[in-house]
Amino acid sequence: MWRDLSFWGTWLGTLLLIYSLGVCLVYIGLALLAFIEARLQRRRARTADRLSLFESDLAPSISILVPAFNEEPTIVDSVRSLMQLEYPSFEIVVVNDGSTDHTLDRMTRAFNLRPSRRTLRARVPRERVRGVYSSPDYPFLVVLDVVNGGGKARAVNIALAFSRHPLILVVDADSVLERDTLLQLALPFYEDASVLAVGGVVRPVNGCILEHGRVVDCTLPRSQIARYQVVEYLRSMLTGRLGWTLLDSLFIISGALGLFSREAVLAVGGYRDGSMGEDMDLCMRLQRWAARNQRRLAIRFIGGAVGWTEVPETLKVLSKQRSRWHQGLAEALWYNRELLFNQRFALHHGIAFVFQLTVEFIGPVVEVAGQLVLLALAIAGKVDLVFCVIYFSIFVVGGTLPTLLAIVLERAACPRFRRRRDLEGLALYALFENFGYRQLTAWWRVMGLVNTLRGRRTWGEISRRGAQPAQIETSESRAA
Amino acid sequence: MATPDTRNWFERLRERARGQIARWSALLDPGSTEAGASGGTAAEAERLALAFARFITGETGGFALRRVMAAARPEAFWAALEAFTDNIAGEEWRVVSRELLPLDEVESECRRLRHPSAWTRALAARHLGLLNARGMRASLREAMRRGPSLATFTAALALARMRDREALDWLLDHPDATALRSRQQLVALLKRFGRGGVSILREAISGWTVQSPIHLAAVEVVGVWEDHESLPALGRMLRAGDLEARVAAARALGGIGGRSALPALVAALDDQAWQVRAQAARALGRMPDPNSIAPLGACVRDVAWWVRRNAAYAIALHGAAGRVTLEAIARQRNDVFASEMAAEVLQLIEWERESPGGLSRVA
Repeated sequence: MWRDLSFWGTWLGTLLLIYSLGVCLVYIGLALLAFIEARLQRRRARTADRLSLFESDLAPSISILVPAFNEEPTIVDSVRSLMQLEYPSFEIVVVNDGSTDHTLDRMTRAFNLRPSRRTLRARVPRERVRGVYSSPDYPFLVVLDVVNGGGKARAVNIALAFSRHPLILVVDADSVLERDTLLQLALPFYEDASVLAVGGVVRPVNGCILEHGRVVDCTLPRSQIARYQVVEYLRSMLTGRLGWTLLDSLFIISGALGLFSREAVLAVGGYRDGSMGEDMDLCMRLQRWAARNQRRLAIRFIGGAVGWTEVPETLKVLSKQRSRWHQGLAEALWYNRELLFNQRFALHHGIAFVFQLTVEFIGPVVEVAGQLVLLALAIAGKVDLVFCVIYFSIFVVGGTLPTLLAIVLERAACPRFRRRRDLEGLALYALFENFGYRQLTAWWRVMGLVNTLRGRRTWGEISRRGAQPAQIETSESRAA
Repeated sequence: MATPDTRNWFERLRERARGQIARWSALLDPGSTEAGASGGTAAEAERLALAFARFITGETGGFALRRVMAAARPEAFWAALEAFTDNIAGEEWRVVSRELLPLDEVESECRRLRHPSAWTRALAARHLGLLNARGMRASLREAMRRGPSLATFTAALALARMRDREALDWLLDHPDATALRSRQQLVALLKRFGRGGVSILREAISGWTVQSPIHLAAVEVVGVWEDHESLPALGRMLRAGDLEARVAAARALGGIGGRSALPALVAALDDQAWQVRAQAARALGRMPDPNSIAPLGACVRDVAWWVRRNAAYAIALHGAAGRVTLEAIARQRNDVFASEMAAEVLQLIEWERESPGGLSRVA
């Protein structure tokens, strides 16, 4: 059967098969680790002393940092939603990162903002700060108006200088947090003095029904593209991160939901200015710092802490986002290459780095190249049918099985879908994504890699839909 | 040929597999009670909490309460008890506990305190801590001493709620057992021992030679309980202790308040460590006294941001005299940092007239 392949090299085909099988096994292994971690977390939650955390003066105070760029439709609702979080002590620092729309005006009107004389806690380029605003009615809210440039990283660094509390939570302006998310994220800090950062699960809010800035029902979105992302987020942002947490090798906490020790963030130099993968880069530097200071399990991921974010519903925006993510991954790996089998770090850090490099970083290249070669051979009529069947079987099973496990894990760690048909839909999309969506995302990621090599930077922007009247209409029609 | 033993083994295996399959299928059923944090358990726990309320209001008797609780699933029972006992204390807690102690589930939990799994012991200790189970104190102490950290801590919490002085003594004598816990958590633990434990804490902080998280937490707790008799020991600590001890002592003195704490705190404003100066300034804001305004005013010119901030907010809490001082500092042009800080606080004082409560919340 291999004779037909001999002209382009039997070994290449075999390598492709071994690689695909290896990736499939690694993802299944990660899913199994994630189940163990989810079980451990459920156990810990049962013995957690939440009551004491709520007692005044004992809960570590939190500064919620919200970088916002052109968030006019959603910003007021987002801030109001943050104000309703269940936690004894927190402040909100919004950074209007040079928005060209009316983000600042909307907030000024909604919260009665006035120019404020708040002092700086750390040194920042003052010329970038156009104004600082506070409100007599909301003493825990600060809004910074800064000149755009340097990306989210610089905006967060400026917010850090104005923040007051020992823990910082960085959230996207369109994120919707559940009422107890802060509590869930802060518990590890409260229970263990060595914790430096805690991440939570980010899930697509598209299709969910919001009431007063709160997700009251979760259904599959209408948009096909968003549906694929629901499946994808579960696989990569829930399963993968829970699995790596168990191995004490978590290298990424989502920029949309991460609670950090302010002291540790400053100790590693804050967010890297201009970085495209600032969240991953910060997390990797914290891992290095924790390893040097011999702190174990300093970076954790909590399956029960959920934040919701709007995901792109058009291919154009999605392609830019995925390309940017891959550029960010490339940058973070390059900046933190020291982690690769350096004797100063533990073996598990090296293994996790190799995974990021060979599976997350190179994976799309192998996937795209393999399938293009197969396509070319098929067009030339030289393709071996048995090889094709084996390869695509591994490709489909390897893509579907970890996703199905992720859906089960969702039920165990953070169940939000209430209808059976939504779960069935998820399972179907776990299968469908292998025929088109995976190839597209792999292509966009390869483009991201090409952009990195060419030194091009594409930031991209997601257009927000605001209060999502369509979704509310859906809920009303469903109720009717 | 299969022996009876083998058949039994197969039977057990089949039963276990059946149970596992049932659990997994329930997990995938959105309407089931098994998924995740268990929506069904929460609903049942809510129903049971109502039963507790009915018992407390005299609507139902002890027998009916026991019957309802005995029929409930264990996790729902403990969840309900946790939600309910968070809101009751004293006599009500004792009455509910007395009715529930004979339940099989409670007795099983007591046996689980000797279970080989540390997590099972910890969970059992946590559950028993929800009851006023004085008869189980010996078992809880044993679980606390046996460790590891999680079991020690949950057992200690249970004993703290029962005001067990022997447990408090043991914790203070074995600082390593709680060395990995955060300070806030240890403060919460020691607070649970109530005011009755203050004499033990006072005695302990007077004679320390080593510094550990639980000792520092003890210093803070005597402040929380406003124990005036600890003032001499805290004053000594503030003068001659290690950095962490001096910070904790300053916080505690701020909690105790009163004129007798003033001299030590004013002296601490000249401490070489900014952390101590910052805490002393904050503490002085809690006990407004005209004599502390001048030294606090000097601290607004400190090199450390936290000292400047705490001093300025502390002055603001001194009323009209404080405001005059802040205005004078804000007018100065030779120290930009001090005048900016004073201006920040003055703005908040101004806003306070429009929307009261903001200053105290931020300070």
